[in-house]
Amino acid sequence: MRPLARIRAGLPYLVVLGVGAFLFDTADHFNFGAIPGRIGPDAWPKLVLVLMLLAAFWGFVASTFGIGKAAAEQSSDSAEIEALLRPPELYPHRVWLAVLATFGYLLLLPVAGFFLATIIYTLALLYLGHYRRLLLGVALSVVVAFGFMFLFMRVVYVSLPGGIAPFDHVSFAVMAFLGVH
Amino acid sequence: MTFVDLGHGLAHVFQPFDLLMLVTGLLVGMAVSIMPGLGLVMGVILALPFTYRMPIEPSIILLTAIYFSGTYAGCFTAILYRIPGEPMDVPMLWDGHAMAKRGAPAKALGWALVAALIGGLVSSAVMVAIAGPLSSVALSFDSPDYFAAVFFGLTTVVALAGRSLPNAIISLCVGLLVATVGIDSTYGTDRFTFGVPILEDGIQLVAILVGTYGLSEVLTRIGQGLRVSQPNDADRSVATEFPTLSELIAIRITIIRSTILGTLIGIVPGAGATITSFISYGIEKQYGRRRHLLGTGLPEGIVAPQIGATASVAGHMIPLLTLGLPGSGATAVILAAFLLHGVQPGPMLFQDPKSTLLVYTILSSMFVSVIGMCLLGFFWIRVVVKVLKIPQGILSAIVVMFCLVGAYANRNDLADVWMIVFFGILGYLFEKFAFPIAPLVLGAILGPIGEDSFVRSMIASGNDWLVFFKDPISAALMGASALALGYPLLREVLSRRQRQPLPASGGPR
Repeated sequence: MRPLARIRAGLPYLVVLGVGAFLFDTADHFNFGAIPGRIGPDAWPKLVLVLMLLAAFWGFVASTFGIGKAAAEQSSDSAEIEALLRPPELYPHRVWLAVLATFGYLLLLPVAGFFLATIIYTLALLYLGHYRRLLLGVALSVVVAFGFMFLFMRVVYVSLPGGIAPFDHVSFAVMAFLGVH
Repeated sequence: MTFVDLGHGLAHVFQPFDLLMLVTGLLVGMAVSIMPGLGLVMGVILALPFTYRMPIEPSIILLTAIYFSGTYAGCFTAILYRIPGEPMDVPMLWDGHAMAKRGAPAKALGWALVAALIGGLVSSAVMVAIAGPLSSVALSFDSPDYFAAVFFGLTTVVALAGRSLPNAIISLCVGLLVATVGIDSTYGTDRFTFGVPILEDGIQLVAILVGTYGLSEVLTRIGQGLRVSQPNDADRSVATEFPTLSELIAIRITIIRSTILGTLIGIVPGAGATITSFISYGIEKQYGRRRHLLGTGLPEGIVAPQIGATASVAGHMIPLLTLGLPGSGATAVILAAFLLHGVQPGPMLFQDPKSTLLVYTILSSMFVSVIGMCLLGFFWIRVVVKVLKIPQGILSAIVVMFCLVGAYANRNDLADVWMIVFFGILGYLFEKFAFPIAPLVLGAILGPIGEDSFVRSMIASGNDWLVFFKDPISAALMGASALALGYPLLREVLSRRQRQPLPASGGPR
């Protein structure tokens, strides 16, 4: 393994070590009245954190110095299984675009209401999922938004966000159409 | 007494709404297990929001039916098109698809159906027989025993989680830490809330499950390009041809061995249907009478993994119902459904007549589910297979919407949805960097029970760390945990030895 690849392999463990150390410090400063002879609310989290830090150190050393590399090498059988079940990641940027779209959706929900926000979000997801028929995509997004409103408001009785004016008029119109009061 | 209870349970299952939920669950389980990238855990998660306002019996029946049929329906795409809907279907496709290619797809489907039927019914019967006695044993558990049981569950999950032991331990620790977030029940102390009000109530189990299993899977698949091998002959009509009695008798050893293996391994936490399916196939490959011919289209290669996978479902329900300890992703969701209805599974369920009826209704529904899924598989599977034709982009959008709206429906709170997105990203990163998800989820679920029993044990024993080794039950469980943790290390050593290059010449022949 090349030095850069080793550093990259060890990076997740460094993150775990950093976060673990920070959380241990946080646990060390829990505010509680200690009772003599009794373990406090910090004991269990600290125990878990020590285990996590040890495992992260083990992982970091093993990945950086290539220990256990031989065991990780795949046989032809397991390589075939991996190929069948886990294709390689080809579009990592699309994942983060989908995450951004989801953040946008959650911010848009209280403003535009469930119906309109869901149409936009579904359209974005369809685009990220390589669906390129725009008109059909819009129609599908409307059907999905409408279907979910029907399912959750009429069948499961959940109050979905209606949004603020002027968007709430659209939500109310759809709700009236569905017979939701 | 068990038969009477079972009869009452059976009568309950055949009430119209319960039966409707059972059939719905079977169809949903079939559809999700056929689609690569969905899977039975995703199916159970997607169905969870619909149980919020249902009575508890149909809720659990719905989820259990999805779980059962999810272990079976994937055989159709594996055998006919060499597309494993679930990881558990991989061992079956080696022989199943080979048999189909040899011109006997109907027979291959028949073997899978009979295997699912035998595995499901026998393991369910075993479970009914031992659930009562096991709950009596569980009633005698005190805090150290409970902690040891949880510890055993967590260590086996870690041991079976994947190739990297440190990654599995880190994943487990993250889950255990997630469970500590909120106000501590003994001292009333804020733990890891960082002044954020929504964290004071702790993190909702549903958010963890839906985020890590549901949303993260879709994100991973978006990164992979959402590609699925499309069968070009999905419309072809293939009937199911049952094996004859003499054919069944000829492989009776495989049937008996795989049924016992499936049920026993199913009881072990962390050993889900996938592991059971692979182990059953592996044992057949090692000890089967015709082991050298496996992979060429032998019925043993279809029967062993299918029986193992289906039998493991009943095995998994045992620790859930008798101890309240889930051993797999699907049983974790079923536990969440119990808790959302205000019912804590465990030995006390078998003490109260009302909850006993609930338990036996669930147990009876398992028999009906097994028979129902085989009937549906026989008659309707050709219709269900058509879900493969749905474009992946549309399917992913619908799944994400189910995840988000389903979580929102729990408490009508957008904070839960944000939490799902957080766990979705965490699950995606875990998947990307080869950290297994199962230990995280089970750590989050078992963490509160583990901490509670640990703290009680320490208080009662005056902080004596040896308390977990003094009682026979807890000592045995701790010993089993040590063995479970030793297993991956042993596996690594053996794997290295196998990879030692053979001497170029002069070696023994």
